[in-house]
Amino acid sequence: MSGSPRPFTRRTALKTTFAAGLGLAAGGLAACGSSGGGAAGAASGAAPKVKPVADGDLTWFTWEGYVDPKVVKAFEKEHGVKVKLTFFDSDDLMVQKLATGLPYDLITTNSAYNKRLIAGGLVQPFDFAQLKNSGEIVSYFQAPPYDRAEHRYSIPYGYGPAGILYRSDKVTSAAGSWSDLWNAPEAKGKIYVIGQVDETIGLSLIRNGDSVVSGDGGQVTKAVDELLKLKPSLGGISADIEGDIGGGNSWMSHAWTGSAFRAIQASKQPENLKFEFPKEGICMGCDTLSIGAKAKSPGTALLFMDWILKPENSSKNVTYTGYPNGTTSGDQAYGDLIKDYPFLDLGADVLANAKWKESATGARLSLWNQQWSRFKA
Amino acid sequence: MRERPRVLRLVTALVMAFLLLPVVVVAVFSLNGERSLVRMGALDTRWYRTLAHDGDVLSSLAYSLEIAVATAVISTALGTALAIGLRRASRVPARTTDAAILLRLVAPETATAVALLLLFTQLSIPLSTGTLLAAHVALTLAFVAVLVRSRLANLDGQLEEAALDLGATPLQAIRLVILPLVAPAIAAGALLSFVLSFDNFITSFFATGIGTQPLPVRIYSMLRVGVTPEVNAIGVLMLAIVTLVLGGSWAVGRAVSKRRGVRI
Amino acid sequence: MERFTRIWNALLTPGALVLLGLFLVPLALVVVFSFGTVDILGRPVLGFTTDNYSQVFQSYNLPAVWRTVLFSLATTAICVALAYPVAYYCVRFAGRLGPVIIVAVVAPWLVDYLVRIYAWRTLLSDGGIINNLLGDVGLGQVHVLGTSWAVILGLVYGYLPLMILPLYATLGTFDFRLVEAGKDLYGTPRAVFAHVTLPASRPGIVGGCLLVFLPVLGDFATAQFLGGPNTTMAGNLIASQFTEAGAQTVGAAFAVVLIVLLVATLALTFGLARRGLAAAATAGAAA
Repeated sequence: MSGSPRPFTRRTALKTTFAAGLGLAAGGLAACGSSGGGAAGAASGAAPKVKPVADGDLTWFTWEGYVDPKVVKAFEKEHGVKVKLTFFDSDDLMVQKLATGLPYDLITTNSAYNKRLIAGGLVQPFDFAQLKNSGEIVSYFQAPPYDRAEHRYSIPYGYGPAGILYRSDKVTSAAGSWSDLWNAPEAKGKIYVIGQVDETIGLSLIRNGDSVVSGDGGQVTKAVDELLKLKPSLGGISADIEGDIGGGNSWMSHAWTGSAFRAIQASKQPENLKFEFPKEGICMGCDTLSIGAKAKSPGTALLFMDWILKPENSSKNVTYTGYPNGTTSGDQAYGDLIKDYPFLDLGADVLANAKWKESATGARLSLWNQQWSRFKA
Repeated sequence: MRERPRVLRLVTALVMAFLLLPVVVVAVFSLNGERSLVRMGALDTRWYRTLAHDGDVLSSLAYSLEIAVATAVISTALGTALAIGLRRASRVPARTTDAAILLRLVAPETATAVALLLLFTQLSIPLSTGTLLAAHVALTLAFVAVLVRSRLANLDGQLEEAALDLGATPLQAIRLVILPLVAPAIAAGALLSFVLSFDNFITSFFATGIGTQPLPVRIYSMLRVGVTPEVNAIGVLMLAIVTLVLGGSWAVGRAVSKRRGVRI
Repeated sequence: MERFTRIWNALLTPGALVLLGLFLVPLALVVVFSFGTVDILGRPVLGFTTDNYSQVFQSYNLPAVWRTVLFSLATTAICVALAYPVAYYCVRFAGRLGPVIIVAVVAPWLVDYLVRIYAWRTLLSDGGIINNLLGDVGLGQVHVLGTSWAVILGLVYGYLPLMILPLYATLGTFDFRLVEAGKDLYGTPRAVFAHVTLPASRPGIVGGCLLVFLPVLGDFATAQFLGGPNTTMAGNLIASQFTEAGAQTVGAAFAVVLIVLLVATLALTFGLARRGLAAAATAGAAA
């Protein structure tokens, strides 16, 4: 009869044999499941056939708060389709969820991940010439290193590399270098870095003069050694820059331009907030828009890309998100937005010193994974 | 013994204050005139207005409710059947199911959620409402089973024996004898499944796919990328809804018991 | 009842299949893939390598694991200390107010978990409500957010109801007349409590402790929002393999180790309990 406690040992034994049987079943399951690689990723000579016409409602996998709702509504009205947004908050998780086969039409990808997405067959190419507004894109992004030359897989959507945001009334030692994070004893316990591997290990690599995509064990270990020296002064490792600065928990935050902009705007004493792009260089990444490989409405996706590149929509979106998007009108809108905060300007000199990030795979992934765990643990 | 209550009462009051303090903060800040979640400005209902117009969040809310109800129904049915069957099923299936239930209860949710993501990835099953529902049922099933089973354990086993001796089929015995007696545990299981599903974050975080997201996952996205007091308005709304559901079910329970003349 | 075994088995089957397919098989997959590698998209690939486990057992992970156990123990202990008076009061002295208090205890659960944690950020931030209050009154500032104490507080807050409810249920079945009778036997209220009430409430305490200790071991959101650079917990180690540049296979290895730890804890608890009962039985027999 139930109710009487059964001996634990018998239970354990049963569990073990059961688990062993399951292991065999799972092994069989795993073997039948899709193995790595995925469908043919790289497009060969054939030109992509997608045309920018509305062929159904649009599903968009993107970041929260990263598009002006008015721009979306206007698109819905103009083309008689619905736009459905689903959000992710981590590029890595986005890739993993996409890898399960989710059929999103439009995806906000990231330059660092595009190589992997293309190789893994998760995004599809399109004919750049089909976009009427492709001329809006500035030359820096016309043939970017993260995309293919023969066929494009993305258009730039927003970028805002990370620099350092700090309270000028509390921090007096800022000197325009990444070392400022290390050399601010007056802000001990109130320094924050971003909780993203490529950004944070990246900044330490740049500071050491190494490549941000280094796969060299010695260089990466040294970068993390330096970060570990910084750790005792840290107040936290986070991405909620607005909250950290606004809540008074941080006096110096490793921050993206957009977050810095919002933090300054939300502040009661904005004159006490300053931002700097360190002179050693910054980690560059750009959010991009791509069409999902399994898209049900690829035409609508391409149509939306064209829509967002249109000057009036581009400037509206930039004004809303606070990030420039690599278009002429976008740059203009951004300039207007930050006219009171010239230190947020992403001028040519900053961009020239920007190093493109790349999401790690294989041996480099293993190295970075371990070193990042070493830092965070 | 008169002093004991005073100290105990104080401690209880302090603990209650501790538990309710953040809820008060959530409620108060939901009326924050300013955009901040740290600094309180003038009282303003703007976030409720934003919420009323935020179709996305409202769909997430509706979605969470639907999933929670579906989870409660399926999980209660399966869990109750499981508990009843467990009592007298053959030894081997019974023992292993028992072990599985225990393991389910103690396994950390992060691990099991990640395991489900692995399963879906491996089988190339796109994440969808179906997978989310399956994940929630898998999570809450064990709780229902445990609740019903403990109630069953307190029942006199002779009752079904007697019914069967009198010529009832097992299904009749279950329907007419067992179910009425375990009804409170079934109800508790259904409510627990509902709340566990509605409030669920970790499993949903890993198992949500295309389309609408359940509310807690939506809130997590909002928290990570820039928070406004709108999340507080959502929190208050969730509190109100679940209070209504629980209050409603309690009232229904009272009405039913009054009509039956039986104390449930 | 073995005459209708097939029917009972049939009732058992649907639920058992769900547990099998959606719980046991995925867990088995986790174990299998903890020995695998990842492809270019981060999908786990079958293989046999111990690299994932060697990463798990690196010395730098040890503090996080140890810390998680400590946090769990601290949270459980604090929860018992806070929950017992509340449960006792509700059962014995609160009368009709008892169930109301219990409902009020569960009420915070109805506000989304993350929103509640964020409310604690509002309260505990260096520029938050509590510090502003202390500043206004001239009592200086307390730096809590980002420390271990903030995380423990958040954990206690999140799991306290799970300790109160089982205690309430167990004490609810306790006949308090035994306390009166105990006064004659044991004299002081403290002795009565130790020899009469406490042993009777042990199932509730054990149940509550398990309901708190075990889930806390897997929690990650509390440490993420209330913690700082030195509060990483085991749950964070697993989650970050999926949300930051990590590998699902390493996450799987972490998960396996965590579950093994849990099962070991359970075995220990039951083992000790049985030995304790056996010892008590022999002591009783000897007396």
